[in-house]
Amino acid sequence: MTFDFFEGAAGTGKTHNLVGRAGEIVQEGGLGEEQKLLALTFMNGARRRLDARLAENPAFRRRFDCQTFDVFARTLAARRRSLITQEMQAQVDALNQFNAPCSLAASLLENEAVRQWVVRSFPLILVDEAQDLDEHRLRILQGLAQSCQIVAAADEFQCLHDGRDTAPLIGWLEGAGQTHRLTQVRRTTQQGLLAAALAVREGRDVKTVLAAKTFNNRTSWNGAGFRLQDAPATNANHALLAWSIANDIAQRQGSVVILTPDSGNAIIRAALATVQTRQWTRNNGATFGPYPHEWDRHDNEEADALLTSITLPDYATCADLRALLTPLAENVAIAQTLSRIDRLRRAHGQSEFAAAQVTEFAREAIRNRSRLGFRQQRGHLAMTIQRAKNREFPNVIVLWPHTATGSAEHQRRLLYNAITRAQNHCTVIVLGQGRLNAPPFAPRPTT
Amino acid sequence: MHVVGLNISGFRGVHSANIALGRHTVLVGPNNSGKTTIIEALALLFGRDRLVRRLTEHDFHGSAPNEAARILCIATVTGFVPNDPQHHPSWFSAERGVEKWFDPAAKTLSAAPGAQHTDLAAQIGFAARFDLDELEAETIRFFVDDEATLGDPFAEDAHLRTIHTKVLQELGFFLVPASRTWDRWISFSSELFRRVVATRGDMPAQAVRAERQRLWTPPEGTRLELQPGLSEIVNAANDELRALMASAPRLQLRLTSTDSDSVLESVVPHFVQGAGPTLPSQRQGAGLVSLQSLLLLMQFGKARAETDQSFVLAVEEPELHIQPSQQKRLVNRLNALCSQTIVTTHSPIVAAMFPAPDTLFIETRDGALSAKPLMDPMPAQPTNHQQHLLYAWRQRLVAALMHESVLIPEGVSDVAWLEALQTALELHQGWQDAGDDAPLLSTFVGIVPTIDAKIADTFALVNAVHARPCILVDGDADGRSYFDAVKTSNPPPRCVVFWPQGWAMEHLVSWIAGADEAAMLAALGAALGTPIANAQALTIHLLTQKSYAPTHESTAVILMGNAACRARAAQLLNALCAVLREPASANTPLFMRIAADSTADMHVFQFAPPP
Repeated sequence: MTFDFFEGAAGTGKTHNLVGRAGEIVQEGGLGEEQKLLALTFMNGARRRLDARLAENPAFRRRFDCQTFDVFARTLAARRRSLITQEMQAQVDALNQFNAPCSLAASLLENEAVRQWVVRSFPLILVDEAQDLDEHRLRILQGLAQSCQIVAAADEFQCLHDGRDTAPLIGWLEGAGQTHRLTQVRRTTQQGLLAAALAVREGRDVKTVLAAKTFNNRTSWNGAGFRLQDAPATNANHALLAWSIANDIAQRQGSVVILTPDSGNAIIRAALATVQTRQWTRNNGATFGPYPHEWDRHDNEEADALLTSITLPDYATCADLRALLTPLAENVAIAQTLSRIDRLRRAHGQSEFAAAQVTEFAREAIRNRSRLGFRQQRGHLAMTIQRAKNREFPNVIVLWPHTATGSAEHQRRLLYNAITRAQNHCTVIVLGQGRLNAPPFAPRPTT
Repeated sequence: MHVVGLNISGFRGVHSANIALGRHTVLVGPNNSGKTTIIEALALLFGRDRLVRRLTEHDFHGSAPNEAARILCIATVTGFVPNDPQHHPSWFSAERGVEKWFDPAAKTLSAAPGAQHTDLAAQIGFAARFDLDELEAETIRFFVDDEATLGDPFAEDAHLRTIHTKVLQELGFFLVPASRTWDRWISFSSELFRRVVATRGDMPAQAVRAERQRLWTPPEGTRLELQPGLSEIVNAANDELRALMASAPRLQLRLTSTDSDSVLESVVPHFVQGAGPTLPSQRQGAGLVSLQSLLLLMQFGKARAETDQSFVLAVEEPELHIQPSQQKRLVNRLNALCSQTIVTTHSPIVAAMFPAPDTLFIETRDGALSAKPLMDPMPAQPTNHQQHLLYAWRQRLVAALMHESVLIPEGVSDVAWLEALQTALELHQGWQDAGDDAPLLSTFVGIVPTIDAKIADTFALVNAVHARPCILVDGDADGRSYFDAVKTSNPPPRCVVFWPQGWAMEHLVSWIAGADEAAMLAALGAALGTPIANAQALTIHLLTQKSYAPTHESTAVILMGNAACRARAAQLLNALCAVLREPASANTPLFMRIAADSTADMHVFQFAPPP
């Protein structure tokens, strides 16, 4: 079986090459009648974006299926359950609800008959962001690799799991077949942006690749498409931070995405609240702001926000719930929850629904909706760096608080990921002063 | 490919059923035993959607489905060529079904192949629920991944892969229902006909298009709307229309809807016999039409066989409208042509054409359907008597087993006497007898031919397939020993009848003659060519003629010609029938319960002639 592995830094076109290579294989006749390409991702967001990428490529003519590793594993373990042995089951007893099916699926894939069963539908597997695979999901890929053609891509430095040793994983990927190294960054041609990202990746002092500029007593470090600055900010006073953000947005063309490693940071929250509403006036009388923006929330946060507006009785009949929720059914998740409740009444005779069950239905509806990619967003956005993984935006502002946690290496990976999301311009604003000579912006000072 | 197993639950009268099917299986059983339910379950699984769309409340067990009520049928299919899932991706893949391995001897499935589990198998499920809001059934056909842990197919987390009709067509299932409208078979409203045309040849497209054109614009002078009588009505209508609509539409009358589909739909088969007139098929005798139509079916089977495709045919009552010689040829042809045939029948002739292990006796009690093979496995060395029953007497055996209760008498002459008396009695029935005194024995009780003294052998065979076997023995030491030989069987005979102490069947005949003794002795003396002094002498004479059928027949005819004897015989046979049918609750002065020998499952009686 062939195994193509694309390795390269952020923006070097891993996904582009990955999809292109898969397209070549398909055009060379890699898929038989009624067979499909199976694209496996770690998270739903990536799955959705990959789905859109594959749909654009005429080589596939819709002959592909994008699934997360978890969904693939859950389905495989459920459908081939008659082959699950007590030993396999015992191995997963201590695992959580997401890892257990992955481990079971990996064990099942050790069986040649199961692998062939998968191959008959999916002879070609595509895996993007392979650096995120943990031991269970890697075992799935290793099983599939024995029988399927694989195309995979990874950048070790973009693994955002603090403390995970990615060396064995990358070692296996590099040894599994043909490795294609991608070196040319294609996301941007902005030299300052490229140089800053490379310095962070290599653990050098970012400031050394930038030019210092002092204005009104405040210093910033600049390059083409890149700016690094700090801003004094405390709980009591976040005005300067808010101004810095708004001032930066004012200088950009198009929408801006604000990234932070800690979306719960109170100073950042307060500053962004100000940016939402406040207008500033320059000395020359010109005004800028306000800049309304939305948090690109995690499904759970969206669900929490939705559910706080509803008071559910402990137990309710379908009719009660319909009366209560129909006014809110403009929200797709609520409408789906209602139809699911109705289905349970009609197909299973369930007459009473506990509040917890209804709540869970709404949460799942929100998760499914984001899984299917129905959510719409426009304008400026704010989100965590984790959520921005694998995405690209024209302009990025990174807000780096004191509360960013993790090892120096982990922080550098986070910062690198944030910077490399930008296609055109990135501004990094560090909260507080005197932090620019320490990781992730510079090597740990030697004393 | 063929179906080796079928599980049914919640469908019609069947709460649960588990049936093993052979390559050529015949389903035998009384009316309402569940034969049609089995055939229709197969149609739900493998047939076209038409039947599925007709599901109503009455198709759910109990006829009043609630939200949780389900119809669930699961079939196991084997016979994949080659025997390797790699060659059947439309059945076995991550987007289709899960392969299983079948043990043809033990008829069990395993998830992995093994020494016994050698045959690649697929499991197909059909499930239905009734929606009480929409008042219609929701159905699903799917691949069964793991039957033991299937759960509710309508559950949210069921992970089911639905099965495409195209895949099912590989099996080539076709159902010929009992309610067949033969005359419509060779027409384009028949799905079978269309399928045969599609597989054997091309649509006669040019002829159809020409006919459509002709119907659209009929030649001048033949247009209906211009004919005298019609034209006035049509013109009046046109005048009205002109006043109402600006486009002034004109009425024209055309045969058919003038598209090719309705031309095809309106084709009606006609037959010509010799130089006779061309007659539409509904004017023909039913036999000719059914034969012609079955030939068509065979064309379809042949077409599939020639291209190595399988053809599974389920036929209800192939004997309908066809004389016995044709039945035989037809069934043999079907069995030879099809990968699998599943036949229901009420004809012992048809039933006897199938091997004993594939002759399934169907019975449904309290919703549990059982399908028991006549003999499975066939013993390596069946006893002489069993061979006799299974080969020489197969038809009579099967005919007896089709009854609600089965009676095993002690010997050949007992069988002969019972049959002679019943036949003679029924021949003398008048219209007034349809009530309480109507002879019921032949309707409800089948009498198994039994070689003298082979009760135990016969009982073992019958007991394996029939839930209500009974025995009838003489009132002597031998009779007692036959009873002793079977009473410990599991289950024991449901009912045991002893003749009185020292009596055999011939004593019964004398007792019947005793209803009008003087007249009967004279008549019988004349008929049998030997003077008979008294009842005892009659018994003794009859005992010397035990295996001489003409004696049985002429004696029975003479006795049943006499009203008093007839009344006595009817009283006896109906009392016997009552005891055999409902031994637990039977209450007749003619048969006395022997409490000492009876148990909860076995009711023992002795005939007690009224003084």
